[in-house]
Amino acid sequence: MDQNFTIWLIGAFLVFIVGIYGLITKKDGIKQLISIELLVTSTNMVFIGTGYLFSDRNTLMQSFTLLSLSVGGAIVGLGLAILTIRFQRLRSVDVTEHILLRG
Amino acid sequence: MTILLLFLIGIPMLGSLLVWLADTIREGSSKYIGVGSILTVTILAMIINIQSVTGRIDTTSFEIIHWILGRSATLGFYLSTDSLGLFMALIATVLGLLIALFSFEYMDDDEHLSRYWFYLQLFISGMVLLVLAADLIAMYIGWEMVGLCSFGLISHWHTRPGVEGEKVAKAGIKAFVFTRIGDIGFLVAIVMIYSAIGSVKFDIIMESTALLSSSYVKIIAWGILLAAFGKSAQFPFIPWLSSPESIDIDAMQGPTTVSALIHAATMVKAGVYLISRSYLLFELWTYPTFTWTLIIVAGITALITAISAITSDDIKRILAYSTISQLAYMFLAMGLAYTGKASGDSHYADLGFYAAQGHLLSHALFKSLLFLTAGYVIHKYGSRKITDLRGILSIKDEPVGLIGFVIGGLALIGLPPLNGFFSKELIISTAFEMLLDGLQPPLTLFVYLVSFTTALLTAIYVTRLLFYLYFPVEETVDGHDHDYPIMTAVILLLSGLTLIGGILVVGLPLHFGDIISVNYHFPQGMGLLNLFIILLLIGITMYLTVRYLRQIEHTDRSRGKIQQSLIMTAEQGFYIDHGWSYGWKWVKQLISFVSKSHSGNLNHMVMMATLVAGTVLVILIGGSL
Repeated sequence: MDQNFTIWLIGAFLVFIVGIYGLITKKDGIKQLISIELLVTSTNMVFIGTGYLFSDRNTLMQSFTLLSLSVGGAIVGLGLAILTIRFQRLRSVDVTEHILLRG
Repeated sequence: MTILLLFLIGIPMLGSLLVWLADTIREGSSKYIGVGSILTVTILAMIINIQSVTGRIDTTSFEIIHWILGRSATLGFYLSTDSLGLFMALIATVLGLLIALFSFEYMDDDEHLSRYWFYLQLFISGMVLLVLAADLIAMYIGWEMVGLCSFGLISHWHTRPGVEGEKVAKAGIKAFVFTRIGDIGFLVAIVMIYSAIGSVKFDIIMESTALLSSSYVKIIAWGILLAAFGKSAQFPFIPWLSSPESIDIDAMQGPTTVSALIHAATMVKAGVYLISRSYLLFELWTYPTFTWTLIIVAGITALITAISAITSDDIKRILAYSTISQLAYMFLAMGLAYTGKASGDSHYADLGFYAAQGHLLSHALFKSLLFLTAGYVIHKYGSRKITDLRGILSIKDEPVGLIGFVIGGLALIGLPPLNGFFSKELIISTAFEMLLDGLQPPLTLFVYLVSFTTALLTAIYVTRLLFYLYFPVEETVDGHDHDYPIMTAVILLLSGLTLIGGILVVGLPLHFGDIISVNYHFPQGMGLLNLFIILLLIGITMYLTVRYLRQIEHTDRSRGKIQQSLIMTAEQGFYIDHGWSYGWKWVKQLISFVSKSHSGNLNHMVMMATLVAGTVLVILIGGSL
């Protein structure tokens, strides 16, 4: 495939790794939300790159990218709602406190 | 006919749902719906049976619904009206009706009556589905349904406060988990059959048994053995049906009517039904380990449960151990049928099959009679221990209990002319004749010796039970002075059926005309001598038991150390239950580290997910990189 596409894909993978790192390491709820948004960004980058590949044939991938952006917005909205309620109840957004799902 | 068969299963299910409605309209009216629906189903079953016997039904497989329509696989839901299925359906519905009538009065003062009737009707529906199914998936659904209803009915009194309620709840879970282990075997067998033959319908399986290679037959055989042993509480799955006094968590925690229906008359017979159905479907006798395992495990079970019954002090426990022992008789008879087929002798194979079904019928009758009479006595005198209930049975004060226990007990021992005699001597005589004819001497000798010995052991514990209940001592308890008309009527009816039940056993080949081609014949020659010796030995055993029990009453019994430890072992159910508890603790230890890794910490979860996903990716793609 294209040289440009490969570089773009590697970039998306790096962003993905940073997002996973944030999910594993950070214990602040808002930082985890940012990491999740980074994951979404990386998949958007993959979609944009694929759109670049097929840009001479159709504009399907552009529509797909718009769809993905709206889904990403919904994800962040939901995450913020959960964090807000948690902060109202427990006065903390730390994910390592108040664990009920213990096995 | 399809509609009638659908009604046979659907009416009790509908009734079980209507129970809630009836209970909100009028308190305590759920029992009328229960008895009504089971009565309807009994009449329907009799009609279908008459139509089948007089030859008015031409096909035996009825499609109810075409379920999964795929390009390469279709699954349907089929019901059959062949003689084996109708036989079991009749037993289930008729006994279900009698026991439902009994529980009209027995469960009258219960607070959760609607839940009881819900599960009872669902059970009848599931049992009928199990036996009338013409494909393995429908049978499996019925199998699971009766398991679920058994759980619900055993733990009926889980709302009792404190340790009592906990024991009852644990008993229900124990029953379900033990039979679940057997269900794994059944599922494996079904999957293997489907992958080999491409269909789960009985008629297609019967035509294409040649497609089963020997390795498939081995897996299917083990799966079916596991399922049958799990459901019918043979070794090592004995504890769910009856556990020793010290543990006391078993199926007898449920109401006695439940014990009569599920754990004497119907559900535990499903294992025997599975083996009988497999006898008709596959050719499992080509795998000799199957027959050996069937006979040896059944034989061991018969002996150890009979011995445990001798040392039990609780009526229901004695009857539960007795049920397991008699089920082993049925398995032994089916083992004889398989042995006959393996030796190519269809006469003995038919005899074995006939003996198993005959004993199934007579056991259903006399065991439910015994359980119902026990329930009547427990209800009236308020105790389950035979040491408390000494001397309650007398012609003057307790005629109903006397009739029930004596007729049921003597049928259990196998004395003529009760029905137990005909079915038991059929099994023992078939084993004896096969032994004389030289068919597979080690197996037939084992079956003969085990059935002989278990008959004597049965005589011992039944005589002990009757001894304690009959001969009065100074402090005989007094019962409530209520009148129980329906319970009395049911007990007397069942006693009558047990008395004339011999006719039913003798006439059974007429029903099974399409499967077997033997008739009942009274043993002659050496067989007659064998029969006479057995009856004589049973009589002597009964007399000696009575004399021994009378003796230890007046003298102080000091037993030797060996005798004491033997009795202790028998009393503790040969430590099978303790073995399972120990095994469960060991399993919990083993998996505790997995439990500790479930910390609930989001970071840990994401890390594990990433590791797993990364590993999967590397495995899948790494090769081609």
